[in-house]
Amino acid sequence: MSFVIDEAVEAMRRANPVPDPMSLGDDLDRTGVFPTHTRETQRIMDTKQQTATEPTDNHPHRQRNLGILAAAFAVVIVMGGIVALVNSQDQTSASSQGNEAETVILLHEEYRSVGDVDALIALYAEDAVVLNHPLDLDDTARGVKEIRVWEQQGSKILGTNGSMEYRNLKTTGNIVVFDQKFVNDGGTCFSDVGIKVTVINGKITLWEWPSDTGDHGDTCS
Amino acid sequence: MNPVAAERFTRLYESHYLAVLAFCTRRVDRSEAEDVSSEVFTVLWRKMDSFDPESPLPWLYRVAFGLIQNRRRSARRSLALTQRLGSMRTRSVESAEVVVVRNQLDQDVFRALARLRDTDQEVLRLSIWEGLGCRDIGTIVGCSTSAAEQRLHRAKKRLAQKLSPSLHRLIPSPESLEEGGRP
Repeated sequence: MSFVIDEAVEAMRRANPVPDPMSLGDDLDRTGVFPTHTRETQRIMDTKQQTATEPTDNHPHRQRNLGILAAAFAVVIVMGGIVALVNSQDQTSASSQGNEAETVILLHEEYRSVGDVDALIALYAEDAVVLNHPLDLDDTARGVKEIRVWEQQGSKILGTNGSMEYRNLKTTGNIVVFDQKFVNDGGTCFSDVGIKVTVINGKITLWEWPSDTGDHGDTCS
Repeated sequence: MNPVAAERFTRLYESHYLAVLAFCTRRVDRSEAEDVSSEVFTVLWRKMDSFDPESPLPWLYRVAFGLIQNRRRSARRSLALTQRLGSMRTRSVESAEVVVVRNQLDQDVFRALARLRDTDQEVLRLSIWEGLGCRDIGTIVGCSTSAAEQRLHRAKKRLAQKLSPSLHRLIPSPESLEEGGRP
């Protein structure tokens, strides 16, 4: 399989319609759309920048003052580093929580795509809750037994050749908000915007469908 | 706009215009690509005073990606477009036989690509054609780096599954070469 993946990637690389962006510049130069003074402008700008960063005053007193300033700056940097280290530990924890939540949602997308209901159910906590399911608004599924019914219904609607994907994932802590679009066997399109899912300890505990039923016709793109 | 921002804009335009145009040309036809590229830099012009991303190119790609998505009306149109792009390619330095096989494979690649989910298509283009890392891909398609890694891995697998018959037909596997067999 790895041979096929490598070959597929290589085939796609070769099929690149614009392998070299610079080749587009020739056409533009001819049509006058692209500025032809690029190199000259770049040279002038580089010269300006270099001049601006060159030291202009080498007086001894000024140098001593600069030394004191540099030392003070170094102390501030070290203190800032300590504060940043403490903060980064908190952020790392929040980030790994977010990654875990997003991974669960991507697995949900994967399992739903292939219609593996057992694998889907394994992603939910035993006492998970699903709110506002678009197929039966205002109803609530509590616990994996009731959720299994929803998931079976969803897989049935998607069919064996339907396509589905979750889009625009935004993760804050252990909550993931995203949109979904799926097209079933019959070509009917379903889309929902703003699905909100809470993941705790790697399990879905709350799945909130948007209160608006979304686009469940054949018009979503 | 203040003069410093105007100068930065000029620099960004001159450094990245062709990359943005190439990005667009890989997704839509040439005249539309030029329109979208102009729109991208119009957006940049409007936001120049507050524009300060770590690396500008992924930001510009993200704007282009959004503008192109807005323009896409249906998967059918996208398929027609990619097929047209495939037929636009020329490789004069290669032998006729190689060109025939490659063109066939290119067509198969575009067909396989069009049968993938939109997000799969996009992460593959960003990785293979734009040469971006998963961090930048995540920024553009709107997910974390690890999610982009997972999506890319799965997208490659799906592309390989869809392309597998063509690859076996056109390219002999190492195993079949060792056995002296034909593809």
